[in-house]
Amino acid sequence: MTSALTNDNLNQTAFLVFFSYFVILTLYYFILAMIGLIETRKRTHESEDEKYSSLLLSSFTASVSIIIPAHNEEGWIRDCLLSVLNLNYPKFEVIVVDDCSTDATLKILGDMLKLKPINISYPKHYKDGMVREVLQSENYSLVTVISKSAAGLKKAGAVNAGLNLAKYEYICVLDADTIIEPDALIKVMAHIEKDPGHIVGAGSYFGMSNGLKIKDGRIIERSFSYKPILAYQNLEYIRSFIGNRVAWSKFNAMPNVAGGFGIWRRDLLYDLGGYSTEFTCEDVELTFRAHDYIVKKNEKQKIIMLPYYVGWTEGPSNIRSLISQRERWQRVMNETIWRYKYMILNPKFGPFAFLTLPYFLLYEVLGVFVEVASIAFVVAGWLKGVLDLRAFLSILALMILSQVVISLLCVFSFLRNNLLFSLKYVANLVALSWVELFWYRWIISISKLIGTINYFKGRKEYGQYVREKRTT
Amino acid sequence: MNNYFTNTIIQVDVILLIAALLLSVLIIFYTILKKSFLYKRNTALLNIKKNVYELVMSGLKTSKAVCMPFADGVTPKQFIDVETNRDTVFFNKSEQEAFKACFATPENLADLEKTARYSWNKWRRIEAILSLGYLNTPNSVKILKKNALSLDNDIRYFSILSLGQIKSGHAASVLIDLIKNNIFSGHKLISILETFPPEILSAYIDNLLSDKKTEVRLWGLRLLSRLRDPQYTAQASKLMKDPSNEVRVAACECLGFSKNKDAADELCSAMKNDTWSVRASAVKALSELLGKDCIPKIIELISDSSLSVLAAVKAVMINHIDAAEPYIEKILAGDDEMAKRICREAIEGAEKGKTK
Repeated sequence: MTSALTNDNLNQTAFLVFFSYFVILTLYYFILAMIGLIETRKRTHESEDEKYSSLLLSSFTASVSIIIPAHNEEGWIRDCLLSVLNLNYPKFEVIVVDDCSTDATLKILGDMLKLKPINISYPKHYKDGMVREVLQSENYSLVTVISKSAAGLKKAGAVNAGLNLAKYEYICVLDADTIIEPDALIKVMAHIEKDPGHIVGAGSYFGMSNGLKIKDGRIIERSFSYKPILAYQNLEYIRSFIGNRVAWSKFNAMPNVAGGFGIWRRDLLYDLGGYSTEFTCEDVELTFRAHDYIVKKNEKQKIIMLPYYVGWTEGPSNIRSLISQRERWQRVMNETIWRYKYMILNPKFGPFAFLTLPYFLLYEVLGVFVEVASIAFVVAGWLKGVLDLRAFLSILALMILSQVVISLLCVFSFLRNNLLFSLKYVANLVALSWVELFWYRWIISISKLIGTINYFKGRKEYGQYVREKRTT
Repeated sequence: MNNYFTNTIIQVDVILLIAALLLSVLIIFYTILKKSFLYKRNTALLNIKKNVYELVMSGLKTSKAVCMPFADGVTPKQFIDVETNRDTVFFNKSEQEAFKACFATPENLADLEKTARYSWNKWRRIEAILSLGYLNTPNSVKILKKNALSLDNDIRYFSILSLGQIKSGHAASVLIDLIKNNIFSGHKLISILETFPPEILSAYIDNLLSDKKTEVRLWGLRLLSRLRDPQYTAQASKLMKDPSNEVRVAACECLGFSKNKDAADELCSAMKNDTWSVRASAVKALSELLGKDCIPKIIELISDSSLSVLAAVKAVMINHIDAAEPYIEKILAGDDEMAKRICREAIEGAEKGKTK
């Protein structure tokens, strides 16, 4: 009798803990989604009324060095580079860093750009490893290619090589499989130009390029892929960028200027010493380090996230690749949180410490344990007869429906400001939102679990997943 | 598990289910509505385009009777669409002018001024603010000036953009006051002032250059250097004796871009300045102004104590290596080791440049 009571109490306590965790998280998402909805609308109005023509003509508009690190990107580099060359921006240079590709990346670059080695000396402020040669394009004078002779410093080392050569005051880092929109740079730089003294970093929304019809770096048909694994990633990106990051940005608590497209003020990167080569992945860590630096230097600087679609990147198109990508994301998340643990709930770091970091710790890092424990608890409770079928189903419905509501809110925020998707695709996203918990969510949870285990094992490789070749 | 918990969760489930269903339906309907709204917006613009095109081709003067069929009921948003070509329908300059004349009825102007002053709807207010910039009514600057001091950042920003559209002396003086009072980013304000006609700016630029605040004088010089006009040499020269190093550096830069060779003497004196940054800036400016003819002058700094000045001298020598050659020979035959090293590096740099 006593034992039964203890079991009952224990079960009830465990239930309350998991349930509170879930309710807090859901409310947190809900509030962020609402802030994201308002903030996205505001940013869209700002963009609609902006006078881009005068920015394009002004001699004060800041120049940008675009760095594209490339490792085995033969299927993507040409379109990526052509899309960059199509940019509608007054002054920029492009630095492609071939990070010891073993495929035809460098050959494609050579054929396309007509490369010629140049003898150039430049300061090596950032850790970039060995550089074989620097090549200048004869076809496009604004393009330089750095060919690295020793890999091992991951993407960070390649970006650092580009940073060493970059000459303009802003740095835009782009993934080699990204197709950038022609107005991407001017749209983001317009915000920076409003207050260049204070905005030191900026990112913006980008989605999946899988399925888009692309010719010579231009999107000729926005035919987004209906393949569920890709559509779910689009949904996830919308949730992450529009629902979370835009909202965090309002409070200067944005944790990640994504590597796919991110702009930084060069002097900040200089002070930070560039990208760190010691982490699995570089973008989250750099953003955390930038927050740390800004607070320690007592600067009133901001890192912003905008809701405009600036580009489209190649996403994993099968479960194996998706797990590989998310496993890496999980490792870097754990590494970064562990490295910057002193920021959590530290009043010096303001909203970043109280709004963003607890979420990262409780959801992104520890969430995987809570998820596994809660599943174990529910199954055990059900098997032992403590949790009846009615209770089980009601909890399951709660989990499904709360996620559906949040997803749909983010989709609505996105659609209010961008009419990129066809009605059929929108209906597809709505339908997928309802069944996410039944399979896609599990893939992500398993990836996180593997990532966490590998983190404890000390794995640090970048781990590039296999991508499907793009059809043009 | 306690029935109470289960019942509560079921109640929450029902609420969430209703919310999710409503949102699903809302998203689908919203997409349909938005697509049809965009179609209507496009059709309306095409209609305006057709009428304005016919009006321009007919050569008729704009009058109420001529404009009535298409300009009646046009919203400020549509007006801005036409003036800025921000939509898919393109309007040329004369079509924009004709449409502006049709839109600028006394009733519309009164409405716009009222909206720009008092509207609680921020984005409607901003549309009115932008429209006032394009229409340049007698009250535009006054209203925009007031809005430029608003507590709302967006209203402030778009009022500033709108003032930049007007490009009058009055608008320039308001923008300059905003710089002086640090109301908005100096960088943005200066980039807007850059688009003003030089004859307007010349009347107001002194206001910036003579300000007590170093920052303001600096913005003034940055603006001057972009104008690249010899008429401002005297104004920039005055600041060569400014107490602030930064201002003196900017003044050198400004003189370099002035295209006025009379400024060379001033820059030569700056090469003797106590501050290294001023000397380095004077070297660069002299090179900009005189080209290869600057070599005899800048070579005097080959034994400077500052590495930055030496780097500036070396860069100029690399660019004009032929003119520098006779001096390099002399220096290489001398005893100054540092100067010899700079010369050798300049020769190497020039060779690399040739390879490139």
